[in-house]
Amino acid sequence: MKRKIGYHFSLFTFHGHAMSTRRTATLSSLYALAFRNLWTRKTRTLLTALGIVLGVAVILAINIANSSTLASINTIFDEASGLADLVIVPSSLTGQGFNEAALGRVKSIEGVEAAVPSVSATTLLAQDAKGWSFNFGLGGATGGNSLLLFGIDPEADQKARQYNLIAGRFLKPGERSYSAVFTQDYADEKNIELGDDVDVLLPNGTGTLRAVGIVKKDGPGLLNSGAVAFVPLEVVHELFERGGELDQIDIVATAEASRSTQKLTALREALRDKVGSKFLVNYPAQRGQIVTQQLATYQQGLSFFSMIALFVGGFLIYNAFTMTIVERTQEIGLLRALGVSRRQTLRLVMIEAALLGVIGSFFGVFFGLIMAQGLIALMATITATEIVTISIPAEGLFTALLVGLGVTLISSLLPAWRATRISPLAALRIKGREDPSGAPRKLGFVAGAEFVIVGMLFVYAVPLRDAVVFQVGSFAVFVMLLGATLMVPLSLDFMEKFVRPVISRLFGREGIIGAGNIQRSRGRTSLTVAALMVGVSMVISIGAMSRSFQKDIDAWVDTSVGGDLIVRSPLHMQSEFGSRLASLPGVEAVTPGRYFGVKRASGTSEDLALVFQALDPQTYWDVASFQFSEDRELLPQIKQDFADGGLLVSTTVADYYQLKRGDTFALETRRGVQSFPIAGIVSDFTGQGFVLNGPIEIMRRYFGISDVDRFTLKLAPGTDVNAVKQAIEDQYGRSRNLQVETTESFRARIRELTNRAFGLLDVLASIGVIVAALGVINTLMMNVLERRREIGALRSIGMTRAQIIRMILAEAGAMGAIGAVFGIGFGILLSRVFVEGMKIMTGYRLEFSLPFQSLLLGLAIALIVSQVAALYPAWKGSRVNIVEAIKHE
Amino acid sequence: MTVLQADQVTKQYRLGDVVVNALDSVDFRVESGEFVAIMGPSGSGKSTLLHLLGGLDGASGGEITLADKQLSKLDDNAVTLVRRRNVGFIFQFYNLVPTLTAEENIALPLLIDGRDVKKSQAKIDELLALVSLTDRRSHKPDQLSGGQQQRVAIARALVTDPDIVLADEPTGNLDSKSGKAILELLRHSCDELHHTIVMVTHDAYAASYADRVVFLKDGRLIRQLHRLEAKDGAVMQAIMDVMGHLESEA
Repeated sequence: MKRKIGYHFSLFTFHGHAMSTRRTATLSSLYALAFRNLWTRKTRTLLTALGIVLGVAVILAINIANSSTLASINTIFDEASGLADLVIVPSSLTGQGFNEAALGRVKSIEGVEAAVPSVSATTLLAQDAKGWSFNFGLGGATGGNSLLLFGIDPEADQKARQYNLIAGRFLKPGERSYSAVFTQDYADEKNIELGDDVDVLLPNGTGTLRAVGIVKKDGPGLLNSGAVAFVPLEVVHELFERGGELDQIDIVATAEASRSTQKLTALREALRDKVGSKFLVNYPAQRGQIVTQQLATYQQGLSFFSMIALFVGGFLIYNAFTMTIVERTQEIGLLRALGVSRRQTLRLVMIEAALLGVIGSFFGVFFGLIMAQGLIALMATITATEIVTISIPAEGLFTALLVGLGVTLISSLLPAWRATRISPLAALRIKGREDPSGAPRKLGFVAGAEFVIVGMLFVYAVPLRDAVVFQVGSFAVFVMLLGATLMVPLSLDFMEKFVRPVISRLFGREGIIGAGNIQRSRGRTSLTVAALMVGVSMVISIGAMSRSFQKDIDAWVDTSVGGDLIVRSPLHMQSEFGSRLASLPGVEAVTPGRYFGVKRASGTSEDLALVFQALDPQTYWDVASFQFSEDRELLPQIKQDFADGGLLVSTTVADYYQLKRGDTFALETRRGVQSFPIAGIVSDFTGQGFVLNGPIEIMRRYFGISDVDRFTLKLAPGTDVNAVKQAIEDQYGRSRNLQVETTESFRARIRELTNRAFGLLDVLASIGVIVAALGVINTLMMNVLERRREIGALRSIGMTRAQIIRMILAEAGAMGAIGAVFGIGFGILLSRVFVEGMKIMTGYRLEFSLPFQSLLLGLAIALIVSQVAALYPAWKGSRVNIVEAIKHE
Repeated sequence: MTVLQADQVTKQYRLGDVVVNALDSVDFRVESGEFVAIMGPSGSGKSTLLHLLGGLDGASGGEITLADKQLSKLDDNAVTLVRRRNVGFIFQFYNLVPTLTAEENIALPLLIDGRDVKKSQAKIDELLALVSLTDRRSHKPDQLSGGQQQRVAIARALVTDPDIVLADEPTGNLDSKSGKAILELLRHSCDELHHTIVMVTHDAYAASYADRVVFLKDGRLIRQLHRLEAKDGAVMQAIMDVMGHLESEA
């Protein structure tokens, strides 16, 4: 029989080694068929591949952006430490130094090749004082255009750091003059040339440095984004009255210790034992911990949404592949009639899927790299981090490719199996596929409902360890999405009846036919409706999550960022300056504030890095307040406890460490470990929530800090804010290098940052909508193809082209309307889950807020997308050649 | 009264570099109340002629006048309206809309034309009775046999009281019994309801129901046969003789 079929098909049996050359011919002919099929249906191939491309591109772009951000942060600290294997810093993290006697203690330890000291201070070029502004991003505050003076021992420093000298000279060993080496970028920006005298701001006036050298902005030149000047240690000591203090000691291990992880770890332990608990001995990159910690939640959110994009992409692939099989039913039936086995049919389809997966993934990687550029730029703005390293993680690349190919293959398995079930006889006449019987749809509905419930239980009812919250939460959301999808087919009938009168009203008589058509090809329609549902529900739930966050942030901003004016300086201010501000006309109250880093006592270096906000209990409540977790009745007592030395701990920290009012919290201080009582728990988004608020007295007594970084002023009612602002600037602006900002302006900037951060998530949500739109196009194109004869008949009995278009638009409109209803319903459910998930992950006490606009937006998106996506298929349908169509068997 | 007239109609198709003359200077007229069959060997152009007569396709040359309108002078929308209001089509494969019931399929041309279907309910009921499907009015096509579906198609073709009914192999997909029923229905609609019918068929038996049979060969109308010309009323035999002659000359 095989001989009769023909040369190629006679090669389909493999017997023994002698046939091995024929095996190659068979394989190549199958490949040729698969490739030809993709090539012949270019539009379909493109549309299907787009789903893979988008999914892979989004995953890769987010992976690269996240990885680059983290890598940049680590690179900056890592490269700045150059050859150092370890770095010693005070455990109190206040930014206050330690006695240089510690240097002698560590030099003597076996395994230490060199101990390199440094001390630093933040200042500003005198010329920049006027234009200085306080900047911030998701990764914390940045200094605007501040200059980091990095004091080094020129002789010892060369052992740890490598400078790329471009012009002039480097600092000489033993040099103590006011010489400074700048980075090329900074020097160019500020027009500093060799030999120039450069004035910098000091706590009590200005100082002058001479530019003696220019280095490249790499290695240590990356510090403070290149706004760094290297000076002798003693210069910082003298100018900033830090005599005898160091901020860090970089340790270069011996070659032997450096090469062995075990020995390096042992050296680290030895150093810890030697220097005691008042110091941290870290690997250089860990210095970026506080920033990476603050970005972690945001980045997790991005990663989560990238996976949602893939989920939606998978839909499209499955949808498109199912349609491809239907489209080629006749061809496959013919092959089967000629003798191609079921296994070979499966192989043919899977080869096609693999080709599509490879092509789609390849282009996905290409577009992902392009998309990553934009995403990185956006992340840099949002996180106020300079992205110096574009990190394309091999793992991320591999994952994206694997995912793209994998999803394509998995998604095409079922359609491929269906292809093997095509009977040669039935396939020779193209007929719409029989809709599955009611039983699978009912089963799917029940299973789907169960999935949704299980998913919700995981989020609401199952207590999860912090380490797995994100993974389990993501999985729970997937399960819910899958469940909702399974519920669609059975619900379609009911929904169609519900929607038909509306569609008829909108599209007239053609609407009756069009709306009714969605009952055909239920599987395909269900998938398309489900894709729309996912897209719409994403938009709504992200909108709700953003709104809930923004509402809470607004409430926090309105409560905690109180007063009318904020006075800041690039250099810290003396607290006495507050009384001068208070004496100005119109000023009712003034309260100081100061941020610095702290560390929990008996924590490891992997513990949370915390921000301490020092406030004056006597004056703070006249200007601002907090949102307390405790009842209002306790407020007077809380305030008293705060004044007596208690802490107001953020909800995030309280959740993390399981704290409540009345507990104590131990911190590493300059006077050793100190325990502080907790006066209350407050909502605080400062430092992404990792913040403790304490009396200013604690700061002075236990951390040795006496200056402040801001004053917040409350004005008497009716006072002109701008007039007072001007008065402060005129009187003190120049001499103290002040920046005065209205709280209104500061609040607006915070809101703008939040909007931008969430705006990125909205962009990602729109990816889901785009993929859903592709699904609609695919479905309708397939419908037009399958119903050519019917369309031809309708045209022949008098339907105009315009009426055909309206009919197809009506069908799309029905899909859109049903997708919108499902999407809104599921979106409301999902938004609650998202907010709950965010509460668990971040510890913020978010109040659920579902903006009505999000629901309207979801509805509008579904309807508009379905109509726009249907335009081309509708046009194609209207161009059907009547004669060809009615002859089509 | 002439309902349909084709004057020197030609139709050419280009297949690559080759020009195919599907129809060559065909003259053809149909009078009101006539039942005309078009026959010919495969590739003779009979379906092509039917498509041109119904405005489904445009002629390359000549003129087709239907309901006093010259089709070549009308744009696509205008031709569509002629099809909608003046022509009823019956296809070999029924071409019913699967999501509509039998009754809804019959009413479809009225719906398309924007007419109030309720006002035409009596007409629809009458047609359902004519095709003996009153008790099947709420059934969808997949719940009807082939013959029943074709009867629905006939009712649909008649619902607008068209000037002419064009049928393309209406019995081609039916068994002999169902086919006979369809042909009797067509004959009835012609005799009793005075509809004008043009039917393309390759089946001599089907053609024997017509008043007149025209024969095409190689795109040309070469012969006509009136039923009254058949000896001893053996219409079918006469038709077969002509067809046999045509096919043997190929």
